[in-house]
Amino acid sequence: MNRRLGTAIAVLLLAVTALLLPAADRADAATTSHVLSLFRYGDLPNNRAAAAASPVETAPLDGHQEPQAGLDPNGADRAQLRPSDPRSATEAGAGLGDDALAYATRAEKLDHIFVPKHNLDPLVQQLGGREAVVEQMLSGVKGLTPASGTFEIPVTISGQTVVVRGAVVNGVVKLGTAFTP
Amino acid sequence: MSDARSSKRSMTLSTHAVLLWVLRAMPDHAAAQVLYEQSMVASVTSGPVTMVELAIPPSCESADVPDGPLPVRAVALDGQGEPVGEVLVWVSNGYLSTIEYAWYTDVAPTELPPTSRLRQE
Repeated sequence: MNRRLGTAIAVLLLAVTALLLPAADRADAATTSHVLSLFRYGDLPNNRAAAAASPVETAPLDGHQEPQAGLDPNGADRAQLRPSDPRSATEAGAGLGDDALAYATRAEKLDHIFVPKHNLDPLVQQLGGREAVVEQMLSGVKGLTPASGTFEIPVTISGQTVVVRGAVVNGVVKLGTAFTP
Repeated sequence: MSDARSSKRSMTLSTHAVLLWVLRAMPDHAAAQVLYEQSMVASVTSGPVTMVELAIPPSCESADVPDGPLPVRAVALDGQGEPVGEVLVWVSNGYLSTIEYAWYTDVAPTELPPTSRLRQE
């Protein structure tokens, strides 16, 4: 009750101030009043922005819930809005797009992966090129790579098992080597 | 095994250190011992640092291991602990044949990683 009375007095004072202030200052007073009313209902604009920016599911804010005594509503809201963890936010298999293909089809990487020792020539002949084999490798590891770190995944390409090794670095799958066991 | 006519050069200390690091991590100690003895007389025949081809004198004993990479995954880390590559040691017909360095960096490496940056996975 005392809180409501205090809020009413504050709003009344702001209204009187706004009437007495020059027109140029009225906008600021109105803004202050608006922010006060938002604070009153625990729906500050910065909370909206944070909620929109955070991919983490947050507890819904009750727009008409009065803040509990002794709690900073901003602080309480911030506690609910946990920062996103880039590792957990990265889905398994993410980073398998153009960056991964561009990395794996660099000339020196292709030359490394397709040395005779790795015994991938039959697949190159069968699929029509080294890039085509690499595309199959990337397709085969899709959804199986970790969010970050190294991986070793056996992939079946045209009936042939190929061991694909690499790492996910900054969300991008980077092939290191591949060979038939 | 080696082709005696190919040009050979000695393995550098850093290359040998990486090779020994991998051999020490092998679960089959008997085979590792045979490969260790091969490494002491191994020479480099060709290849960039990412694919070092080795030659072993035919007088050496062969190891009882299957063809292919040894079952040791030696991952190279950078100063922040992030993986930058991995070393594979290949064996053919019981003889050391290749030290492969597969990289995850944007630029291909020009030297093998120091053993202090290797971690077994």
